[in-house]
Amino acid sequence: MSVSQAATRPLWLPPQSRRLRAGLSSLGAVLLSLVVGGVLVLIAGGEPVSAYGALIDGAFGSPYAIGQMLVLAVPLLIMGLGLALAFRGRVYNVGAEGQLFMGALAGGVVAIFLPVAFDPLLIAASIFAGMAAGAAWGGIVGVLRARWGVNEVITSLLLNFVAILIFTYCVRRPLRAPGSPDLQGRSIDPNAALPVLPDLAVHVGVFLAIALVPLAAYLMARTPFGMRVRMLGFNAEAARAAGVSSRRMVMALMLISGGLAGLAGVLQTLGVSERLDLGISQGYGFTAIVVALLGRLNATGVLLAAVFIAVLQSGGQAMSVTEGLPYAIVLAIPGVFVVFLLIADRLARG
Amino acid sequence: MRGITWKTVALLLAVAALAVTIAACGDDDDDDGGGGDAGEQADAGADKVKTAIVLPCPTSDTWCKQGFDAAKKLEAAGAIDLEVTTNAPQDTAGVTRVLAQYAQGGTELLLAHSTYQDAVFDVAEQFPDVNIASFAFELKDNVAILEEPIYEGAYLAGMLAGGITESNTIGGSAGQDVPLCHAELEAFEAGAKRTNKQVKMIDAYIGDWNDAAKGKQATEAQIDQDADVVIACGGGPATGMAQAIKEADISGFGYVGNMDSQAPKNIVGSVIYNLDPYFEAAVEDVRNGSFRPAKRYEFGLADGGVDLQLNEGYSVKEIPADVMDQMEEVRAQIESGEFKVPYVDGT
Amino acid sequence: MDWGEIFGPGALVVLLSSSVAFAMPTALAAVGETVVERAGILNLGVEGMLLSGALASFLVAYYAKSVALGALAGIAIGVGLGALMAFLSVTLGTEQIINGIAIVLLAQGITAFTFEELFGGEEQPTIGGIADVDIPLLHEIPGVGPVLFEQNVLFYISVALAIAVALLLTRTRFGLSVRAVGESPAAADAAAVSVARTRWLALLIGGGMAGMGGAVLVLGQLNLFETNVSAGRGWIAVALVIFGRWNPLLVLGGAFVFGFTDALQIRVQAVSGGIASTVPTEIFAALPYVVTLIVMVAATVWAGRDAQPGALGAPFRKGVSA
Repeated sequence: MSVSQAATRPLWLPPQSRRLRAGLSSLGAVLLSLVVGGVLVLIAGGEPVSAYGALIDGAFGSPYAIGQMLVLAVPLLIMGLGLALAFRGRVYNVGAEGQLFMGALAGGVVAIFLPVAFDPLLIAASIFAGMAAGAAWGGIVGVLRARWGVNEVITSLLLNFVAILIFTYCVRRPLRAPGSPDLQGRSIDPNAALPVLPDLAVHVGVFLAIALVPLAAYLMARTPFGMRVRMLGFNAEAARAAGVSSRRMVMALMLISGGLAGLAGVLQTLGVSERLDLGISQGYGFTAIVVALLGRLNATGVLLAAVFIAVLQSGGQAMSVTEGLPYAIVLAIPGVFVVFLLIADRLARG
Repeated sequence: MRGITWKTVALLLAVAALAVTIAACGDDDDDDGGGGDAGEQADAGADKVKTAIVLPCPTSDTWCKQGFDAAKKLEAAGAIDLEVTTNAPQDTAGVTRVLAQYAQGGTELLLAHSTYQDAVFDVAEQFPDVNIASFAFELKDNVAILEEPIYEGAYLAGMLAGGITESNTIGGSAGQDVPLCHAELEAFEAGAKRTNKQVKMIDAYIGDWNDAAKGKQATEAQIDQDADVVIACGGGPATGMAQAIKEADISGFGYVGNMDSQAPKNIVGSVIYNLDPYFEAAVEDVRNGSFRPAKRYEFGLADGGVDLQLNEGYSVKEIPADVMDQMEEVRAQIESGEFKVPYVDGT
Repeated sequence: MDWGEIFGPGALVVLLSSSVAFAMPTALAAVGETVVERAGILNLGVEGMLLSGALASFLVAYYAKSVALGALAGIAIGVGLGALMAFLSVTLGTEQIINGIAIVLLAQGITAFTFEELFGGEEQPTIGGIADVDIPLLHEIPGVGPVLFEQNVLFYISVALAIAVALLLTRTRFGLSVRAVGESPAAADAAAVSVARTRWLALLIGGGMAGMGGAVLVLGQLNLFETNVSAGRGWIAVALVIFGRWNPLLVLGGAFVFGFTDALQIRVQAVSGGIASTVPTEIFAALPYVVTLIVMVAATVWAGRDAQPGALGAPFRKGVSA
């Protein structure tokens, strides 16, 4: 390791300055991203400095702005935590999007039909159903991989399409909103709607999401389970020799990451759309993969990455309006940032 | 398996914070200037309604172009100050953020040009001063509904199709089997049956609103089943259909906007959804203070909201004169209220 | 419903002809991705490369009025994004999955932005299509002839390209290096095969193929560009590589099987009358994915899981043992 470090370290840096190097390279990454984004803004006839000001203002400028940013961060964080855990064990679940929709469907059905007048009970039942459905959808992938060694990347990817089709059918036919001319599902029982915080206008699911961070951190770092996941990720052969059942672990990781994606789906349904609706996610399950990896597969990192992506997107949405810039810019900017941050991080570690 | 260290992100946020501070200073100047501009504008046209339109697609898409053009027309007429967002996000949270930003900026009338039900209700509650017109299906004090009686135009198109078809087979393809499209295709079929008893209609739902290649494939499948006049519902299906009829040299009808340019010889005509009367009425209501309680705006064929616009360049077949007369007769009957096109939405 | 209208001799030819034509963009991207994965890189950026290839080919064909230049532009932008992927994944050795997704995000944003900047407020711009060319004699072969030999020029070029790349991988020295590098980079390195160079080349090829796929979609089929016109075909391509067990010819075959089920579902709707049918359309729409899943599970169960390149997804750094 030391040989390679010496070999790849930029010559203009002294050997013992990792921290400085990290600082300089991420500074460089941010500046480069700002410049590239700025060029796009200029092309679109905007003014870069005020555009970035508007972006930050759009994410933090008012309680409502912060709340909207958090609304977006919640599903990314919850799914990102589950995926981080799975990726640690080298279980590459790319099916969070489908698991989210299955969770939303099951949780939504409970929230529509279960005749329970007591709100917390109804919400709990809905969340439970959603997590179970997400876990089950992820479990299919788990069984196929654990039992027959079928590659989980492709099965989870393909099941995304199937899940969205099932969801689409349900909101188009049996669970369609009466009177809707388009694809919209029924409203949930008002008792099942998550309470919303004043001013911030964010649903209380945000507390659940934040509470999951230390829980996930503890699970990853301090429990025998977390230890086994690490072993599996580090060296599957050695883990097996040490008595870790890789099948059981694969199953567990798919159930957990699927269940968390399902949870994200329920919270979107109970807290954001308050009906069964395809608008609860637009590729959030894929963005969550970026969040998990950008967060270095650890819980705190995932939290920061989720907020970071949410700031770029939510702030960007507001910015495109206040600055009169095409919304497509906002789609491109996170990509630019992620690319440059990857480069910077790599350079920083030498 | 490495990503970004938390230090990197922390640093990034710090830099971002710095950038805000700098930008905020810059902003102050801008605001002064901007404020002045706004003031002058206000003097120039005191009763211009501050309007924004949020479109889910680029303006090259016929659905979005219809909305965009109608709003631009009002701007050119001096009735509104207009701001536009194209390619708007499709997720509820994303589009809520965009709509909210307009509402926060003092927009009086928001034209949310898609079925943004949940986002629209959220923003309407959060910003009670804003007036919204959207393709919602539930009313609220400050949320009006724009109806889409496109099927009326499709009925007239179907009448022509019945006269044009030689194989007695016509086709319709749609993004999803939702009431809007179902009603359009049913009306097309009913219209065709009126001029040609033998007509058989085949349909396809491709399961995607944007995939033009699949739309083209669907129309081609119908052509293989002998369809020689077709219609579509949805952006992807319609653009795909236009390409398919051009290649196979058969006849088809444009959807929502004028699609003559996409298949100049093959488009018989386009079923136009004209938003001019809708937006005019909404703007007028906002100006007069009569927007609330919000209502359903519905302008069908009789009120200029829907039309069948024939294509001069159409040259695949001769449209029989008697069929054309019959169609114009029915058009007059619909306009006078004598005849009501049956609405069958499949639910 | 009369199944003869779908599987009868005449109808089947039409069905197959439609499936191979519409499967081509996915097939090209999938074969390219096979080379990339055999070299040990998991490139999830295919969707972005396909989409960028589609826009670049459209713009050049639109302004320069040349389909050939358009196709080249599609390939070129694909190669460019392949180079970006290679720089990140090979030269820097950053996480491949995230690199790929970042490229998709980037491409989706930039293509939508560019298209809107150029054509905002105008009517849908279109380009002239290219005519089908019947290959003399061959197209008269019953059955196969109309399916394979009555297509447009881009189709023939695509087939040739796909087969050439398949052969490149299985029959050439370069292909041997690719496979060695993907199986065991350390061993390949010891045998004086440059891991970095081989993976770079594999990604340039993979990117070019995806870009070409985008060009075929636009120039050969649609004659126009729309936001997200690739509509998920790049993701299907990634799935097909694994479905085809990293064997380029099987991948090519798999792409056509997928295309066939896709065309079949539309055909079944057309024949069964669509609006009158009570079967939910979503069942048909799910068919290609479900069939792909089932075939793949069956193949894996039957063959074991040895097909995956040993070092897939793992960055290689000279002098550092995995």
